[in-house]
Amino acid sequence: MNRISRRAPAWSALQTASLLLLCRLTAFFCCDAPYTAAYAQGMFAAALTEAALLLPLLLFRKSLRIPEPLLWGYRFFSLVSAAYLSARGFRLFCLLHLEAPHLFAGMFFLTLLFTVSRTQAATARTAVLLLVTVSAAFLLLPVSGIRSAHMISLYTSGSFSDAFFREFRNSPETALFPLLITRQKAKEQYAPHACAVWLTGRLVILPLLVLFGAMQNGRLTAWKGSPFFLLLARTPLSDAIRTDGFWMLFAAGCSVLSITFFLQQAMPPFRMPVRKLFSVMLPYPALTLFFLRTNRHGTGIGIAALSLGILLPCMLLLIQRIKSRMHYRMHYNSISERNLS
Amino acid sequence: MNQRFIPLLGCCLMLTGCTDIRSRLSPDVLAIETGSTVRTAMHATQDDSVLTAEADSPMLFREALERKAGASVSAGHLSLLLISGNPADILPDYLYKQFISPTCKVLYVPENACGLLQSGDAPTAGQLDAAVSTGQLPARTADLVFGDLCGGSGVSVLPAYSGGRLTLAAFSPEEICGFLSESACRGLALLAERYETFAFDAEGAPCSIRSRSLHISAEKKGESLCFAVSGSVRAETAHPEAAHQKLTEMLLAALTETARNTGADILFLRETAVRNKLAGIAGCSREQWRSMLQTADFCVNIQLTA
Repeated sequence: MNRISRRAPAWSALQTASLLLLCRLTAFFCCDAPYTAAYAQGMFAAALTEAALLLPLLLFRKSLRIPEPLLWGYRFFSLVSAAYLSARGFRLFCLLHLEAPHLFAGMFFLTLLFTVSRTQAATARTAVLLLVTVSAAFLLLPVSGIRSAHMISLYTSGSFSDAFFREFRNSPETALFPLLITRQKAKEQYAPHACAVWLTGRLVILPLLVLFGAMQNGRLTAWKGSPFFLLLARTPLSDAIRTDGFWMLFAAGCSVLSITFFLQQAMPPFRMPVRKLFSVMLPYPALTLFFLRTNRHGTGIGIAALSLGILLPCMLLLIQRIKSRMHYRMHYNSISERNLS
Repeated sequence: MNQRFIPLLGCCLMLTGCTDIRSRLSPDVLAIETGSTVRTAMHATQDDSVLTAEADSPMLFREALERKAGASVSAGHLSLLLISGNPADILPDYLYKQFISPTCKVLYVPENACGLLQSGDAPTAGQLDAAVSTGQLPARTADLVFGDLCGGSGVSVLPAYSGGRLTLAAFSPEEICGFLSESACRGLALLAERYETFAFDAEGAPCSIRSRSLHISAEKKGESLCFAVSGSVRAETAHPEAAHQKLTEMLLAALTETARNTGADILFLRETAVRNKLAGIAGCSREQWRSMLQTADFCVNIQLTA
């Protein structure tokens, strides 16, 4: 068993799935692609493809061993993902016309410093709490907006392929999937349950939300900014009650938690807590600034997430199986030779 | 244990910096006049007064009003925006800058919007709502207009106040295309489905619509497109034939006066053509689509039942 798995706290399946889903939701809130039926189809197809590719990993998770040097690769990617999400989150909040973005960034960093120093178990518990709240809030959206939704808006033109590839760019949490499914090998149902909840969110909830958004936002495909907040602005709960404020707070909370999750995963196994904390909190702002300055690294993140999350573990599984078979054959041959002699 | 949360107390204190609401004005109605001089006027809810100012650009209306009022202006509770000048020059920027909310009502006034607001003769947001709920006008808000300009044919329709009555005006980024007839306004309201009561006069007897199930379909006839409104309307009337004729007139006027006369696509005609799998529609430009609409045929085939 690898060192990460040995030290990992005992998360429940729901906690793991909540963390993964919140990471996806953060990227979803920050995405500025307009909601169309093609977006929902592309999102569904990409999530289905990922699910199909992850299935062999899930089936053979017990024999998967991640070597220590590779864990550093996962840690580095977690740090990169945290910075990538932070840059995207900051852009989203700038689009929402913050009065003082620099003050916001400072407070966001201080909050992160506090949350990252907490335990991973606390992060997981908060993730469940946030996800339950958002699930309840999502139910209010169709109720409040059903009158102004038009089915015909689903025929607004959109690109399926863009949506398909965007889904990989927007789910960097896929890279951490092998680490998470090998956490608690003793619990048989842990990994399948976590995977089922995570995929339900990605295969059902998010595409349905995009479809609803497409029916609401209709032709507003040229809108600059988050289409989710446009959807909220167009669907108040009643004439007097608006929910934008709640969702803004939720988006901020979601960003903090998902970035905390990535940063905690990126922490190296140092003994001193302060050294551990600053080993991620020092390079993190620099990487965030890098992503803020450049806006064209989404494809790289998508490819890296797919490689680390699916391709590399599959190759590892294959190599480990070939090795064990060769070892078994050599052992069998030596026994046969001994018997013959 | 609790000492850990002392730094959080500082953060909470930082979040309590609330603006003094006495030094902030929030208008419920705003008027903008564009042209050689930009004039702006607002009705402040706090003291029920109208304030006017001149600005260098429509985008600088807030600064101009703030200078005049000596207080900050927040348009977050704006319920009606009156525009004199081309709305296409103003609305997209106002939406992007979040000066107005997407669901803000917009009213086109051919001239002197500020004067109308000052004199107290401007229609209120409540009057517009009443026109929508009684089926006189379709519900048109800033976001719908913006959607038509960007995703439809580049021509849109918005409520207008002309000659002392509420109607609809069609406009493109280049020009104001004209006003729609009362019959067309009512036809659009019927198709838009946002009314609560829909009643009209049919040869001296009132006709009230109970329910309707109308849908638009598209087909290609040779080189030109043909849009048809079909379905059924349940109505209470003493003269069914006259009511049927009047409804047909309304729907036909709605289609011809928007799509054929001005090229405006506010009834999701492009999406209807895509749904009906007509080739070459999804990829065509706004200008191409507008010219296709202007040469299209329209027909109405509805049934009136009691």
